[in-house]
Amino acid sequence: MTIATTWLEKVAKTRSGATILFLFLAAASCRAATSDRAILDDWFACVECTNGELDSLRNLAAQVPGTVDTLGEALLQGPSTLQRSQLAQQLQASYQLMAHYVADDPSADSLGFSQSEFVDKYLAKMVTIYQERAARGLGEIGGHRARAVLDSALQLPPSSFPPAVWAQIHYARDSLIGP
Amino acid sequence: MTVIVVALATSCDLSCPNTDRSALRADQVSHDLISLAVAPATATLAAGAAQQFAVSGQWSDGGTTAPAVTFTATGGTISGEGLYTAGGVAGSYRVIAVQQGGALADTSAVTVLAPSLAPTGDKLQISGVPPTSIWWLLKDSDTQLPGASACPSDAVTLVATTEVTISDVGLACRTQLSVFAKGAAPILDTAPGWTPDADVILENLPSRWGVELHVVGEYASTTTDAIADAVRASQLFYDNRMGIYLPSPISVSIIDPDDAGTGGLTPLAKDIKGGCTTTASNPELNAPGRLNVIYVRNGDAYWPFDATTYGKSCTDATLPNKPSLGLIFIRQEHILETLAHEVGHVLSLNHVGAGRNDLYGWPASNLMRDAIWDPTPEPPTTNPAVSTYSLGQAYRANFNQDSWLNRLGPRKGLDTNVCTDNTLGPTQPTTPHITWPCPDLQLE
Repeated sequence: MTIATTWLEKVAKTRSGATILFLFLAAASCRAATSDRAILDDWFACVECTNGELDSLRNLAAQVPGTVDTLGEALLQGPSTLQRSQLAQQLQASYQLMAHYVADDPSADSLGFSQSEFVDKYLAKMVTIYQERAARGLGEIGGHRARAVLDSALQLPPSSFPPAVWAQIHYARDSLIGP
Repeated sequence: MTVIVVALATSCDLSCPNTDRSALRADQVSHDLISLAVAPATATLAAGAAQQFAVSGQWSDGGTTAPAVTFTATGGTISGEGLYTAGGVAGSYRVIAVQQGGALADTSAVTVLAPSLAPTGDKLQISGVPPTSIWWLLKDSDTQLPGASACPSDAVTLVATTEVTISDVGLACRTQLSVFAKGAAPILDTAPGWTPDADVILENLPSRWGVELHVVGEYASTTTDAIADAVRASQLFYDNRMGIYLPSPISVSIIDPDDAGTGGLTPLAKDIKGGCTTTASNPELNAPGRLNVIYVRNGDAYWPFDATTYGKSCTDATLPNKPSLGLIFIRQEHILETLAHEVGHVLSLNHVGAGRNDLYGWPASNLMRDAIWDPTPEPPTTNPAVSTYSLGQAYRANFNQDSWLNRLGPRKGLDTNVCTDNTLGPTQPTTPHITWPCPDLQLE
């Protein structure tokens, strides 16, 4: 909730704040159903994305208009606080397994970083991928609503996003026809 | 007609010493075969064990000469002479003998037993396998119980085909053994704790295969990324009995893709921008038996593949089954398990789940799903969500002829997939259930 509030305050100060705020509020009340969440998660999580994840996303967007709002929220906010907390717990568990492996296997490299450094680093990568996929998904879905979200994101300071996300927003917007 | 032929046969048998007696077998004359029987009627065999089956017949003239039959079998292989060799999967099977040129048949019931491992003191007795089988210990894992000191990593050895000796393993440590029997499917059993014994002779163990990584990175933190990814991958290989690890130190070369210092791209940087084919052909990357991993920095100008991907295993599209070129690309922003996933591809494993090879239902934790993390995890989250290979995947990774391990990697030339009749084992089974018909698979 803290992240969401901070973001809203930031957005409210921008020229398109009202537009983004509208989209965010719309997203909050019009999210994809739980059963559709798996399609979104497959898109967010796929490595090579050769299993039709993108097609499924487009189909979902055609049937559930709220998909664009959900992606917009994902782009602008990244994973929720609860998601981040749970992902961090999983990374902590991974670190413990790796540390145990390294301690027991003399052939293994030492990790060379603390658990907190590890969690911070890979959580940041997860967040970046999450936002990148949101941007790319919006570009693939297209339409005026997706364009509006991408345009609004581009009006934020570039420092609002990791460079990879910023680049992906540009790529997604450039892939859409129209001003 | 029948009587005449028999009379001739009898006459010749007594008076014609140079006659080829095989030409006079009863089934080649026109007696009527009343019934045939396969013996033994039932057999219980260990995995990989052999049993000779024989047929007898009841002929219309009262004879019992064996008729000519064709043998078929389930759960194993059978020769034309009735020598049955059990497969590696426990179960109830059949040996069937069908009269050649006739309609009579008989069936024997075969039970193939599951091998087992049972700890007795400091030794682990292997039962349910024939002593001639060659066993291969894929790993000796150690799960440290709370409060215990570190478990030894080399305390298990194979001292006989039916016995494993364990030393220096305290009660606080438990060991899991993954055991392969020659000609059989992988066998896994878990041995609980046992009494340690100091007087144990350790012999040479077939160790896990070290896969040497050569890492090329386009960004400064490539080294820390590569170490974390490699440790995670090795830990996952270890925990899932994949039989390989990524040894340290990892060779890491950092290059500047724009070669800002000299104003031009190095040949390797140019090749990386070109993708799989050009990179694989670069002479800097062609050390035999080495797995190349390219870490590419963010930005569409650098990543040579679709921007939706962050991992790529390069394959040789000119060959059947598109085997790995021993080359992996990983984008700077990637999930921790990306290297483990891509190495799975290198070892011939395909994607599972999401409608692919999903007949048996792959767990959400399988590393060869294309989605290797769960963006919306549900509690409990104390264990990583994606962290498993199936036993079948571990087997295929090691024994598929298209696995890089066998084709270009450290096991190249070891003929691990060649049967004695020079046929090759199957490739790319698409289910986690294993059928390995090659009876003489060389594991050593």
